[in-house]
Amino acid sequence: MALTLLILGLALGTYLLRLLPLTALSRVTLPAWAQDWLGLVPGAVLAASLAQALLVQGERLALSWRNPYLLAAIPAFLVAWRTRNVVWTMLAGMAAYALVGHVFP
Amino acid sequence: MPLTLSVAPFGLAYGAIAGQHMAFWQAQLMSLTVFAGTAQFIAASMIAQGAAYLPILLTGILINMRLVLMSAALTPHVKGAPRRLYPLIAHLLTDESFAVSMAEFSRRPADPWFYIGSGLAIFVPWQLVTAAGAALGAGLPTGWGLEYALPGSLICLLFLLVRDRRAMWVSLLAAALSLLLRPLVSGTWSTMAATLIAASLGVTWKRWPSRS
Repeated sequence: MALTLLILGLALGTYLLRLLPLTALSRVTLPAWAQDWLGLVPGAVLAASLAQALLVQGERLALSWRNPYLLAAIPAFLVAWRTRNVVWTMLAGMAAYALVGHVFP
Repeated sequence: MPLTLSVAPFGLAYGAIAGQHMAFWQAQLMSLTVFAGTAQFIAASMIAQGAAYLPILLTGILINMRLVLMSAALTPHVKGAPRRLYPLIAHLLTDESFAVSMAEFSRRPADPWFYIGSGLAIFVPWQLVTAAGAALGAGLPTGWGLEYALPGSLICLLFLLVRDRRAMWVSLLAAALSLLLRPLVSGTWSTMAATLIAASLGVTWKRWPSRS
């Protein structure tokens, strides 16, 4: 139930961001630095989120080279760089992660 | 048509991930109502990491704030549309429909119907492929590395979003800060705090006179 409310809250917020400039705020322009700032936000959020996903295991920093999440990131980065395709990257990461799980059980 | 195909991998990946961390209908509800790829990935990612809901909501809105810019830029081009279509025009706004329409309107007079068509050409397939992704994800047995579906997708999204050196440094800084801030800022607020700081420094860096 709470999760459904979260989804609907995010939907409402996103919808207002799409709708308000079109209707109420069509004459408002943002300064260049604010536009620049907004452009940098998605990449920064993704990178921070990825860092948490790879390097935080059970509330603790896992910087060891035997961290399977970190090891699987290497082939995933290579595939992302070569193919720019999210499904191939995901599959490469999954395969590497499963493989690492067998090598270092 | 190429537009439709381009969203397919993202939808499959999102569906496969979201299906693991929420009910099928909730994953689909998010596709229908939020309809913004990056924010959907991040929300699924933060839910998977057990984040509190308020930071998830605020981080999602922070990512989507760029829609304000696109909506404002689109407004003069859809003035010809009946007002009752504005709610639809707003909901169909995505990075892709915006990019395709603005490119088209630079070559010929603005046409709201072209924009609505491009939006629908993304909206409808997005619903289908996220549902397919959730079905596929649910069908995979454990031990196939499904835990890595999320980090793997984030890695590719990052590659697609970070297009220049400055954006790369901002992202690296945000990643480092999010880890460093963890002890100071409780739980997943660190992602948001790191983003605010890194993006602000990135803006300052551009304005530095000695840099390009």
